[in-house]
Amino acid sequence: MGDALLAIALAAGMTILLTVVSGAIGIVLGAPVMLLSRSRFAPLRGLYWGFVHIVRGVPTLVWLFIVFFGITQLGITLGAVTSALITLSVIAVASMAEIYRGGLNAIKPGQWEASAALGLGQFATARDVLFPQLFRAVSPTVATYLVGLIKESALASTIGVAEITFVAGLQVQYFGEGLTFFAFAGLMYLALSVPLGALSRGIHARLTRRYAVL
Amino acid sequence: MNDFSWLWDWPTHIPALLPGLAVAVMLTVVSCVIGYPLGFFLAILSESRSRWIRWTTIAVVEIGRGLPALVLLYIVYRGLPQLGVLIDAIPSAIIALTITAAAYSAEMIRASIAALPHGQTDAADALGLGRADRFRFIILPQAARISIPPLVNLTITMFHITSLASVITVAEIMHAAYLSGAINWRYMSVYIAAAFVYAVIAIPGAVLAGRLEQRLGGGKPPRRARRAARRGSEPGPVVSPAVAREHAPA
Repeated sequence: MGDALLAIALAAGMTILLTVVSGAIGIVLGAPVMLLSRSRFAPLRGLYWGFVHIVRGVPTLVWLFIVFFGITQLGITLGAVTSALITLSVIAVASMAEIYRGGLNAIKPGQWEASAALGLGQFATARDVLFPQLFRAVSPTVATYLVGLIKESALASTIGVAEITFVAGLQVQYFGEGLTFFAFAGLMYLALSVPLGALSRGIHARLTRRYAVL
Repeated sequence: MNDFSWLWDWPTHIPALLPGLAVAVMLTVVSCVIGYPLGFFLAILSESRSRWIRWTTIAVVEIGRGLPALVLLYIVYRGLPQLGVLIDAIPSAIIALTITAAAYSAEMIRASIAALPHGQTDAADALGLGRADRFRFIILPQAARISIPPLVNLTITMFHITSLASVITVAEIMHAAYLSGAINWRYMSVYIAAAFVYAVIAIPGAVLAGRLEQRLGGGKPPRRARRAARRGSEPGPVVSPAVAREHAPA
């Protein structure tokens, strides 16, 4: 019993790995993808719209099965962990791009005009004027998304990735006592997401206190 | 085995998924129709004057939001038998999805109420309205307006989440896709057909939610101002969509 619970607790390592890797890829690659939505060229904006809506319009489970099972029809086989990382990362990129786009929309046009009036170049405007405000505007939404990603990673259990939910399911097959093990798995998710939520609230409070913008 | 026939043969797999679509829509409708009123009650209770009611409600909502829907499904379907409670797959899915819908909608409705300017409460008090009347006539109509776009989005998410019910053997879209794939081994074709079935409902839904948000006065500025902002130029006098409609030529 104790060993079984320990096994579930240790599986949190895989949950954290999935969350951190796909979250980091989303945070970094979401920015250049978001820039497509502000392109002068309509086809690039259309590409952005198509990418974001198709990725987010299909449930995560379906993408996961396309990448894990579907790709075998093309004669390619990916491991379960690789498939889960690819799927969660692509979805994170699309979601982060939308979050950044929303944050940029919240910045008033006057900021661009003021930067132009000060004679700042495009790069200086982005670095010194837009980025600090954007960071403050999106940090709570990004944190909410990361908490969601912890829970989303539970889907990887359906293709056999040994994270919390999968290992809990194994214990139930061995020992029965489904309520004990799945409730414990639920506690593990709360133990991961509650501190992340508290941390983000702290960071956001500090950021807005120091700068008092937005 | 470089087989690219899935590029054109996937639509032929859609008919096999349609009975599953009916089940998915049924699960979405039932869990939202029961879940949202529950969420409304939880939202009201979370503003209760009694500290115990308030904290219990917040704990229930946060646990409902904090657990992955998949774990909730397993707790109901594979967990409750430990207590001697055996529930069939479809009722289990309805219970788990309803809890999810209730917890998320409770938080959205609570946030919509909290988003109202405090002056609204003060004005209602100044008019001598009681607590109940203040809520019924001042707070509720405005909060309902704010909460509609997020609730439309939540409904789409709930439709997506019904895909998880396949893991407890509910015969929805993904279950139907899995069965087809097991027979013909054309997993790519079958799952792309499934993706299409979900997207064809979810994408128009997401566009609708975006429009509603714009029209009901939340979030995005009007399209003209967005275009101008993209160019980085002066947008000219920005007229809100509601005002523009009022002044539109008849």
